[in-house]
Amino acid sequence: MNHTTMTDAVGMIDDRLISGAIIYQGSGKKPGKVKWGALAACLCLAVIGAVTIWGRGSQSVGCAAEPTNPAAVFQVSISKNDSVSDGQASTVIPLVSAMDGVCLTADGEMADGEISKAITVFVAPDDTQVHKDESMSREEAEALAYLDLDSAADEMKDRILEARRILIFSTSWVADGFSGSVQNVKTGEIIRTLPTFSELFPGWDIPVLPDTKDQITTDGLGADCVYGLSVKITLVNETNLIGVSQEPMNMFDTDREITIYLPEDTTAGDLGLKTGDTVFVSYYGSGCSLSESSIKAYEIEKTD
Amino acid sequence: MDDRQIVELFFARSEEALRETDAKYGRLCFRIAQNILSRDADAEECVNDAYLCLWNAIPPQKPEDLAAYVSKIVRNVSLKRLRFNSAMKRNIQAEVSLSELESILPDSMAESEVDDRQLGKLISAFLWREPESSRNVFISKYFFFDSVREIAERYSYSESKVKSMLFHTRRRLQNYLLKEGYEL
Repeated sequence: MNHTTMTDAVGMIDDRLISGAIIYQGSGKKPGKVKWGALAACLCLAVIGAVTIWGRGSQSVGCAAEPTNPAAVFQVSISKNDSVSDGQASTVIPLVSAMDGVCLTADGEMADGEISKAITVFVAPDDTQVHKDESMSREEAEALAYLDLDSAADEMKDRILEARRILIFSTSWVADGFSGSVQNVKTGEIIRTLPTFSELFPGWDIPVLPDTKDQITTDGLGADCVYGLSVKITLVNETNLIGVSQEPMNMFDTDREITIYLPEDTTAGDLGLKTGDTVFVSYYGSGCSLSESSIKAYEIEKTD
Repeated sequence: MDDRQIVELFFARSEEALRETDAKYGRLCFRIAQNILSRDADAEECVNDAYLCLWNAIPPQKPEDLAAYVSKIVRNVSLKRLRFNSAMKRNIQAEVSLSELESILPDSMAESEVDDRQLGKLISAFLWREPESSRNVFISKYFFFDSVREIAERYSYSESKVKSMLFHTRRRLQNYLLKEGYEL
């Protein structure tokens, strides 16, 4: 028996099942599409080190000193669903620049003892802006990503994994064991509750980013991507923030300066950033994605 | 015109039966054929072929559920065309759906002598036990070959939810068939 038999068998199901599906209207509510406004920014920035949630097998959850920025418009809140932490294990990432994406990671230990960066929460930018230059279209990725990896041929496995990577980094989610939401700080409105990784991607492996530390290498992924960039992050006071902004970024550049526009009176601490923090930049449109371009902030300035 | 009257027209050998069928179910038939085949021209041909099959089948057949009956015919004709078509003309979306279906069938059952009709009954029994939403999403995908996007829009679900429902339903069906396969 082969797959055509299974297909033919589905063609022989009860007539009442078929006509039932024809008339079934569903009961779901129309999913809302969150538009993040004029988010021309192609920058997805994540603050590393603000939390230590998966720390070497311990239950400790850091982030007691959540950045609280009164000028923030949006924020991403996550908390660990853990009775031990009694609901106190949470952190807030202010989206002070109305950033359209956030990726938060925490240290974890891999089987070989290497320290990796396990992603705790990923808030995707507007889907329409993402993956224009990916190796496959979103439609194709959706078609391939849910195929059974175990039974796939080797060459197909690579394509399935690539499709999964594309979907994972174009969808908002929170790691299993956590709750997450995006909230409008001003109104208190929960804009969206983040689904858990396994809800969206059942059976898939949660992505783990390599710990790039201070590496600055041009490695793999064609000539367009670099693994690490040294950057000087400059915070500029702006009453009416627009978003994280930068000039078109040449991915060959090192010692790159990135300017982040923030509301007045914002400090670097409000972002949870300090010199030496690792920052992830995703520059959509260049073919680079989040896991492939991490940068080390070696200097943070605030200019008036 | 209700289905019973259309069937009576078939029995009267009136060509009006085909016009009425097309008026009532033409869009549904074309949707199924188009979901399976990559070219509209192929889909239209298959719908016409299906109408011919319908004309030849009724009488003696007297379907109680004309919508399901004509859907099955269009689906079968379109799948035959899909298998016949060259690789160039293949519809990736339909191929993916077929591949997903393939992965459901347990090896133990593949090696048994269960035929399509028996397997169809098992699948029906399984689907009747499923929640209505999961059942209809599954049928939309694997009987009608609707895309995830179409299903999500029709039922007002997110695409992620549809994919998740399909994934879990496939897995439950596989477990069900595995259990039934051992008992055959």
